[in-house]
Amino acid sequence: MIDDRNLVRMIQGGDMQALRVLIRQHERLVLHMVRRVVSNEEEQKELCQDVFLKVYNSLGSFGFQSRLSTWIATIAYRHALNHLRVQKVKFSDLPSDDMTSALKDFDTPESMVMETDLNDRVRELIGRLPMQYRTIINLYHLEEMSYAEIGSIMDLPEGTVKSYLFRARAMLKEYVKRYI
Amino acid sequence: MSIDDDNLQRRMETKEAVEPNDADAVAYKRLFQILTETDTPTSLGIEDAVVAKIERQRKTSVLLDYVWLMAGIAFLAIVGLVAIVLYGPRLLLSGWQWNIVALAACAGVVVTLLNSIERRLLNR
Repeated sequence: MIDDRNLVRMIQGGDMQALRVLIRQHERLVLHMVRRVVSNEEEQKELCQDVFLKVYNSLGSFGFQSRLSTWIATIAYRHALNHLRVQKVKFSDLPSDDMTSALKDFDTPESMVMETDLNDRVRELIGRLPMQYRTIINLYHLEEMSYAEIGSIMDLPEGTVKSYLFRARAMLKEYVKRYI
Repeated sequence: MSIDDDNLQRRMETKEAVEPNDADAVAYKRLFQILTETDTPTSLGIEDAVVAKIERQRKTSVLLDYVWLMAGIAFLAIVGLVAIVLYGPRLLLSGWQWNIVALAACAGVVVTLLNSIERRLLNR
């Protein structure tokens, strides 16, 4: 396995095979960042491609101040935010204190009766959370990033990241409790 | 969020054992399980598309460079022609008599040389 420094050096030297390796290594991370922004699969792929294009074009400015994955995630997060702005999609930049509003109207009596997979229901519920909460949950649980890394990606203090994560999980727990 | 919630989440994060009869603890255990499971596809297969986009970008950039180079040469030629029309075909510079055609050729060589140096530096 090639280490990040060598990989970056090879790409800067024009090695397209090295770029393919970088994409394969980080596509899941990038997809986690953009998939909540757009639901359409083709659009998601398009956004991911644009993120990697930006990564390629900005590689010269990357000085390994952070991990390569953290840097790529930062680009993906900002690209996703820009996409929302361009699309003029209404989103909550500062999540409201009333987190339970995400739960409102989520479960109709019919859907509670239907034996839908709890995993899918929880994922759907996460999709209803404000973007910052969703991103933090994904980065912490799926990408196993630290609070500090998430903070640097999203430009938030470590304490805020922790507080958002704990609040989101407490809310999701209340939902899971109803099912078990 | 209660203090209990806070404690339970901390314990789940550090994988400490929790009370099996506590409904909150059981719910958290199930939730943490769900949160770490991903439904993301393992591969998107976008490598070729990204490489193709980069190639396209590179071609456009090369084309733009040539357009600028040609525009520069054309501008130089026009300025040269205007100079010849206004001041005649010979030029006196610091005691040297320059042929205007030779001067234009020299300028063309310098512009091409600078362009190729810049290209090499940018591709590093």
